[in-house]
Amino acid sequence: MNERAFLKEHLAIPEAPAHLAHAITTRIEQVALRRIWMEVSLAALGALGVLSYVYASSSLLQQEIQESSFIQFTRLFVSDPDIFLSNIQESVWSFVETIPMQSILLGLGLSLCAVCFVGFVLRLRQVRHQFSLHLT
Amino acid sequence: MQPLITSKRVQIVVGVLIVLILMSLSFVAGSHVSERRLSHFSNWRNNYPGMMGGRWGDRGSMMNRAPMPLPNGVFGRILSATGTTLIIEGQDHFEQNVLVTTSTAIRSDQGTATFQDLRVDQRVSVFGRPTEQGQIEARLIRLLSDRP
Repeated sequence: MNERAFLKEHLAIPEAPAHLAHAITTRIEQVALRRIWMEVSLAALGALGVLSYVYASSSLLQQEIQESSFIQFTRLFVSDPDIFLSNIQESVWSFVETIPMQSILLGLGLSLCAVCFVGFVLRLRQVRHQFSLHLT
Repeated sequence: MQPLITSKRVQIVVGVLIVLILMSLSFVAGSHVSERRLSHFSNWRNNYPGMMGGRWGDRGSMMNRAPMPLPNGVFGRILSATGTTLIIEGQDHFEQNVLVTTSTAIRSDQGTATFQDLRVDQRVSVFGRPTEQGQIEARLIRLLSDRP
């Protein structure tokens, strides 16, 4: 057992005066809330940025998805899988070459921002709930 | 459940290694894809007048073209069908020369089709492999219905 663990086990933990404990808890809550609000704002800004990009280039994106050769190859693969499977190397390259990267990246970015936003809001609620128990 | 790697430092090293391997694989795949597309584009451009029977395509539609034609397929309308070759204008506005061989499967919604069923202005989807002459050697030609 190291010295720190020994002391922790054998020494009584001093009780802080009530007003001091309250002040410390309030301060900790303020710092935690400030941090979470910052994260929520950043996630919301990120989501807003991606959404405005999607809105600004929606017709281009729609055209890219509709005319994407990836979709056409996928349709062919669904209707004639035997040909694709017997030419597996060409099939793999044809899919890799036509992946609509812009749409996938935008989708991932949007999902990430949405997940972060929801996660941070849940954490905010949790922290508020925990501190409200301490402070009342 | 006990984690497989307990040391924090080893976890970081393994994580960095995995990221590096994934980045290297993506880089290699990206280089190979670019090389294939460039090679097909170069062959296509060098053989264009011979493949298209001297025609130079619709200059008006060139402005809307994708940067390079697809090496493994073309989706669009048949411009001409002669002998064993088809000239197809793809949705990317590139005219591609498609070689039909004995191993090419020609299919429609009704089942198997023949070369004679391929008529001008017919919408088709072609899957195949690029040749050194800038053509696409078709493995599959699927006739599509005329509705968009």
